[in-house]
Amino acid sequence: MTDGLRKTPLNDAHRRLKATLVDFGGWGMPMQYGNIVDEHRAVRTGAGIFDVSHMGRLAIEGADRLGFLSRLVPTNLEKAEPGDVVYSMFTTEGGGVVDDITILVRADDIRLVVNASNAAAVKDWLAEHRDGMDVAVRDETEAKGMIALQGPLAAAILLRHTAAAAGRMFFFQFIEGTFDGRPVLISRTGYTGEDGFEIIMSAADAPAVWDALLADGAAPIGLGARDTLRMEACLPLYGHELGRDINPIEAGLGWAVTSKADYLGRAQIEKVRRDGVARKLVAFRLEGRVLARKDAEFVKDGRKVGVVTSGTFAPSLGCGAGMGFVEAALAAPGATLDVVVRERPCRAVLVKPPLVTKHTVARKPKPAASVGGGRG
Amino acid sequence: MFPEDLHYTETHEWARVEGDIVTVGITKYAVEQLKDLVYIELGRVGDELDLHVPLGVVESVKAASDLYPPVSGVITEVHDAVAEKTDIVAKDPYGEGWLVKIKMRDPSEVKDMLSAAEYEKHIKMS
Repeated sequence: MTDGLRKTPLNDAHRRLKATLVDFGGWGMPMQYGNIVDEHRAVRTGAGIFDVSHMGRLAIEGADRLGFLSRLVPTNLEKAEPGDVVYSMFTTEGGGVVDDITILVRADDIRLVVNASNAAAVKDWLAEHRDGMDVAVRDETEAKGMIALQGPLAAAILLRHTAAAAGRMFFFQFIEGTFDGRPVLISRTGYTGEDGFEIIMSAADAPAVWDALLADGAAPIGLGARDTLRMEACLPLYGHELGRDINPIEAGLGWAVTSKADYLGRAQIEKVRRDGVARKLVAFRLEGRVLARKDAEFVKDGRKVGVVTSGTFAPSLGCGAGMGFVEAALAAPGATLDVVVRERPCRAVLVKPPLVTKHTVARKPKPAASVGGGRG
Repeated sequence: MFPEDLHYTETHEWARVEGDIVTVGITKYAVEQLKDLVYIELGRVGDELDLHVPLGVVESVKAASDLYPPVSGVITEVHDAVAEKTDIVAKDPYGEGWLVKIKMRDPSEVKDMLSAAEYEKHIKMS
């Protein structure tokens, strides 16, 4: 069933656990091991592990690496220190999004984690924009494995295998250390809205790390629950909330647009910030026993006013829910719109994101501004 | 593997024929394929049903699947309890998990349904 697909180092583990394997961006990945709703709840109440080895992992080296990246992302990288993780995106001249990424700043290089479905496009993008700078891009995807450990019990489980420093990390930091003596990079990041970590190890070590976490009681979690979890947390997904025709300001990512450099797409992104967006990303809950899915239309007074970008069952809410773009004037939390499902209008209530309260730890406090003396 | 006293469709519904009343549900195979059943949307008492025209929808986390009537006729009863408590269908698909009852319009349609053995063969070949 999944012959001809790329395999992560954990493919055997998924088969042993009787996962339903599907083609995800050319990789054979587990959709679920049992019931998606059970897996979802395991992460919200305990701990779950996800094979995310399929994600693209690149290393940017060379003296110009920081300047190179600064020209391609709208996020300020000047103050980034080794040990920081920065959420950002590659933007186009027109102010659209090529991919959303995390940037891990190390002393000798900068690591990028990119969407599996965009890994090739990102590599092409970086090559196209080299412009003779002193940078080199190394693809580490195949050499490494990556496991996300997420949930309220994630830290307690992780600390059985690694030094206490890991538990003292702020959200969006990373350390390099060991897991049961195996070299790893551990970031306090994730895609669920819970506290958790993403662990990068050599491909050869991935099965042992996976098995150790399973033995600790972490539940194996597939792509099905990965999607319901991230949707409840209102985390964007490329191809849904993000794309080359979507401006990050529309997608609610203005908080990541902080660069003072002349990055690709700056003019268009700043223009949208100044002039206001025509459409806004909203979160919604459905009334009634129905689910709205991607591409369903929002209507008001018989007129199409938006489109669903992600929609499914939200186990924590017990109802259908999702995200979508709606005309800015109609996009207020508390507003009600109809979503058309099987040609019938269904009542949706707009909600201020996230749909479900997040339990991530605090980010590193910003240093106080020292210019001008402040208020004393 | 499938109850011998029931009839089946290629779209994974089962039918229990008692006089001119046909009780309808989905097979254990359908339950296993769909996995996370979330909602079941069914027609209403009095609805006229034609073959190949959906009588309802099963929503699972990943997709919606149409339900088809095994015979044409009129809905005489709807099992409202399962609409939200879909785990009844998963636990007891041939008993408590029944979905609708249809008063048949054309009893000759019964012979067009699959036997348990034919249904099993159909699954193995798909």
